[in-house]
Amino acid sequence: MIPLLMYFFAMVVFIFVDYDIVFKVKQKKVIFIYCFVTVSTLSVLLMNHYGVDIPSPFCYIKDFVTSIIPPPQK
Amino acid sequence: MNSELLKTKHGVSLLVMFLMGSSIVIGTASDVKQDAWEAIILSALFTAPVFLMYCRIMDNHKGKTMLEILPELFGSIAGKVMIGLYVLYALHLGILVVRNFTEFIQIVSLPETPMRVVALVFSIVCIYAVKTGTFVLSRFAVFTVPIVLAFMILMTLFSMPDMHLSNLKPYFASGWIPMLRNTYGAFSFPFGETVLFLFVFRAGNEYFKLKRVYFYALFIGCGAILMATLRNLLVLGSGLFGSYHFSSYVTAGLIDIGDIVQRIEILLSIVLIFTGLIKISICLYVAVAGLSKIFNITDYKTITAPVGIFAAIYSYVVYGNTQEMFFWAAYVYPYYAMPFQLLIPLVIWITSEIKTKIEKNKMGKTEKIRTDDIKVVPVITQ
Repeated sequence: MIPLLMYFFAMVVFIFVDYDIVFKVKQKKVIFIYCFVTVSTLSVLLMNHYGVDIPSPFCYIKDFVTSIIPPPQK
Repeated sequence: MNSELLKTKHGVSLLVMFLMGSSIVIGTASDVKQDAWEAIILSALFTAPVFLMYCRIMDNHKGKTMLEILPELFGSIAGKVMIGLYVLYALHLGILVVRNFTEFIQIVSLPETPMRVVALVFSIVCIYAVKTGTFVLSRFAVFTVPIVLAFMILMTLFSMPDMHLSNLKPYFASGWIPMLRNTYGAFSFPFGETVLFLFVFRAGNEYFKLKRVYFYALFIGCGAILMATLRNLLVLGSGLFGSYHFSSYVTAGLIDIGDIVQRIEILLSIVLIFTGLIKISICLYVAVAGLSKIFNITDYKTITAPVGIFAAIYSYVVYGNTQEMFFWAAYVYPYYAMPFQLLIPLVIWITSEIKTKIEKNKMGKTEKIRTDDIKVVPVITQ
């Protein structure tokens, strides 16, 4: 749970520091980005915490590239 | 954004630190072992025309960064799509560099500390650096470049007693195909990554000469990488050079002059933290500046924190393990980065040349019409 708590701590600190620019400006897009990043990051952390194997999207890029240009055999 | 305050020395320092970034940590072209230094020289020669292309794009659109050039050339929607692609690339590159540094720190000095803690601490500093703006970042680079270069030269001098020239032989023994593959690999990592600076720099300032910035940085950055690679090769030999993941760190650990000068790996760690900080900050800056352009957010600083923390957390799941990281860097990254470093800039350059020519022709025609009008006017008055 430590990473989760750390993430919350960092997020709270930054929202506190950025309070003026995030909430007084009231740009909905900024709040949307905050929410999107929070939800996606929390889901990654929770899945990781409960042992769910999360494939990196870059695995697919790796498979695609190595299928076209295979690495040299040693 | 305060990038218009930048002078040539700021730009050169930023680029040199960026180039040295993670290439000093995980090395480049190490697959061809004793021919790695030749691959680096060849890649620098290949980089020169690419840099000329980058400079030409910026010269055609003086006083603008890529964030303004792309919508101007391709229209609002296509321009934003291209900016979005570069945002993904910058964010991914930032994530990869965070992972490189956390791996390095965990393997060599803090094995008990969770990787996420190191990543988060590193990212918080980068978030702060990006929030202060590119000018402050560049002044930090101007201050640290001499320290970094001095440490690197000092380490090379101290390693001299352990160097064996025979470790470089036989020359060009790897064959042409591996040589070309590694030359391109050394171009894509780190020289081609400087495409991100097109989103930071503006041409057309009398104190900021973009061509000079790119080519001075290529000269100094390539020299530093070449020096580190040659030092590692001459000390470790081709076999060990190819098998160690962090060969610079191992080489620094071997330094022992009269039992007095020893254990100076810490100097290398300082170098890596300085260069890494700059590299991650530039990637983060391009990502948030691009995102704020796409979403029409007035100040990019508002979204720096969530994006930076996202990069830190995501760096944990981007690779399964250390071996995967090195496999990606050697065999996948060069081809994955090709569109961003070569193909898209080539399309932008060609489009930019065509549009500039058309505009010049139009300007020429309107000027001709105006001069004709001036000639006609006296006839009418008579």
